Amino acid sequence: MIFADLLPLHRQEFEALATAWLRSGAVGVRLLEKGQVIGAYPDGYMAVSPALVVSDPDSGLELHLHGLNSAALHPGADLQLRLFGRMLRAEHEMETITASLVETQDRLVALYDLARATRRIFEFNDLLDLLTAESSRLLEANGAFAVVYLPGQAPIVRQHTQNPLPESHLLAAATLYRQDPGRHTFKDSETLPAGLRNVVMSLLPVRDQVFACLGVFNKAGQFSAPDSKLLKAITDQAGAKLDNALLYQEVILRARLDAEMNLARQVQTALLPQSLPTFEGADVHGVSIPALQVGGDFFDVAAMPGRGLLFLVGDVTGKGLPAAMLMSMTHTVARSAVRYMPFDGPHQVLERLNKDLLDDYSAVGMFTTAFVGMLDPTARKLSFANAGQSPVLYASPAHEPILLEAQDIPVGIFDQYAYSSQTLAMAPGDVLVVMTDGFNEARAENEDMFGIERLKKTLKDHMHLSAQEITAGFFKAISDFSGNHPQDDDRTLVVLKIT
Amino acid sequence: MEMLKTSSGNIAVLQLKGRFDAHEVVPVGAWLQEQVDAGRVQIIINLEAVNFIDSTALSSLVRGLKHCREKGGELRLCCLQQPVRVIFELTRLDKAFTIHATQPEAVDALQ
Repeated sequence: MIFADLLPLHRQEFEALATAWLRSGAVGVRLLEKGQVIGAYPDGYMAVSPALVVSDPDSGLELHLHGLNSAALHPGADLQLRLFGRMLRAEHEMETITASLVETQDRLVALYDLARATRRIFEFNDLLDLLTAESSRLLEANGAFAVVYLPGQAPIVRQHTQNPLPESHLLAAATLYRQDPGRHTFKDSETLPAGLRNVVMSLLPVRDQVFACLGVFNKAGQFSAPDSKLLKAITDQAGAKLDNALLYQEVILRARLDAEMNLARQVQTALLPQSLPTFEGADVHGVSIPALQVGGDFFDVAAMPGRGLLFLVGDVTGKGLPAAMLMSMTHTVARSAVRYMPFDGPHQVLERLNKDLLDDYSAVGMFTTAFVGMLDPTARKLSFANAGQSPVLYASPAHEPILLEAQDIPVGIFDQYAYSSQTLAMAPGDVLVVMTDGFNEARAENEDMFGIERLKKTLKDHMHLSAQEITAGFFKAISDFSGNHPQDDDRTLVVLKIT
Repeated sequence: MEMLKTSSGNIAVLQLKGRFDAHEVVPVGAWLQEQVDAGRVQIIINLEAVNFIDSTALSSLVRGLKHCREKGGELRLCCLQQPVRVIFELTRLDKAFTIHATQPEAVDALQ
C-alpha cells in the first residue's frame, strides 16, 4: 500500500472527481488499492448498491462508482482512474527521490563533519576511535572496529560498541576480509566469529606496508550496497588522515631521538680532550669525527709529570650507538690507566683494558683496537703498544713514510693475552700519525678506497707543517677524494711531531 | 653477498662471496649462531671470493670464534684474498685466527 498515505494530500482532486460522478447520477465513489478502500465520497460512504468498477493495472488502483451501471460510462471512468493513478505514482516517485536525496545529504553532512573533526586530531589511536564511533553511527549499526597492522608491531585493534568484543574475534574478522578483499559484507551464516551477526568492511588505504581496515557490525536487518559505499567513502578519506597521523608520530619520535642523540654526542665530545697540552720538544694534535652522530672512536692526549707525553687512539668495532656506549666505557678505563696506573710499559695499559673489559666485550660480541704511546721528550724515545690499531704511519725527513704494523690482537678477544711494547727512537722533524681505519677505508664516489699509499703520500706532502696543519691536510685529502660519498666510518687521528 | 652453506664430515663450511661488511653481518652471524646452538662447533669459513671485510664483519667472526672455543670447538678461516689478508694483518687478527691457505688443508686440520 503506497498510495494510502498519499491520498490525503490529493483529497481535493479526489473530491472534485467524485463530485462530477455524483452529478452524473452516482450515489457514492470509492477508491481502492489492492482491494482495500483508501478513499470514499461522500465521507465515510459505505457501499450498498452495486457499482461500475474500473481498474488500473499500472497502479493497482480500482475506482468503484456506486449507483451507476451504464457500460457507456466505462471508458471515461477508466481514463480518469489512469490519470489519477499516474498522478499518485508520480507523487510517490518524487517522495522516494526526495527521501533518498535527504539521506544522501545527511550522509554528506556527516562525512563533512567527520572530515572536519579529523582535521583537529593528530593522534593515530584517537583518529581510529573517532572513525569507529562515527561510522557506526552513520551506518546505524551497533558498533564498529578498526584493525591496523604496522610493520614489526603487534596489530592495533580499536572498537566502538556498548559491549566490547574480544580483540581476537575482531582480528579474525579482519583476517576474513584480508583473505578476500573484493568482498565487503559478511553474514553470520558464514564464518563470522561469535558476537558478529553481520559486518561490512572496507580497506583503510594508509600506506603500502600497512594493512588496515574499518568494519561496522551488527546492523538490524542487513547492510545494504549504499552502506558499503558510504563506508568506502569514509575509509578512502580517512586513509590519508591516518597516514598523516603516522607521519606525525614518526616525526615526533624522530625529533625526540634526535634530541637524545644530540645530547649523546655532546656527552661523547666532552669525553674527548677539550684542549691539547703544549709540550716542550713535541707538537701534538688530535681530532675525532664520527660517521654518525656518535661513534666508536676515541683518543686522548695528556702530559703527565714523570711519564712524559701520553696518548692513545682506539676504535671500537661497529659504529653508532652500540659502539659509542662501549667507547665511553673503554675510553674511561684507558684514560685512567694511562694517567694513573703504575706500569712498566704501555702494553700493560692494554692488558689492563683487556682484563677489565673482556667480559663486557664478549657479552656483546665486539672488540676494540687501541694504540697507547708514551713519549719521553728528553730522550726522544717513544714507547708504544699496539692492539690491532691501523694505520699507524711514521715519517722522518730522512726516509719515506712507513706503515708501523700492529704487534698484537685487538682488546676484548682473548683472556690472558700477553701484549707487548716497542720503542722507537725519534728525531726532530719526525712525525708519527696514529689513525683509525675510517681514513684508509674512505671511499670515493666510484667506490675506490683511499688506501694506505695515499695516506703515506699525504703525510709526505704535509710533514714539514705543524701537527695541527698535518691533521687538517689529512682531512682535506680525504674530503677531496670522497667527494659526495658519505662518510662510512668514524675517523680519528693523533699526530705527534718531534720539534 | 652470497652465502654457500656446505659441510665436510662434522665440519660446517660457509663460503662467502662479495663485500663482507656491516650490511652482511646479520645473516652470517645468524648462521654461526645456528651452528653453535646445534652443537656444530667445528667451522670453516672460506673467504676465497670476499674482496673486502670491515670491522663489524671482523667482530662477527671473532664472536663466532669465541662461541666455538667456549664449546670446545674451533673456527678456522681459509683462502683469504690479498686485500682481506692485509686487513687481518693490520688488525693483527691473523694472530687470533688460524688461517689456512686452502679449504682441504683447513678440513684436515680440524679432523
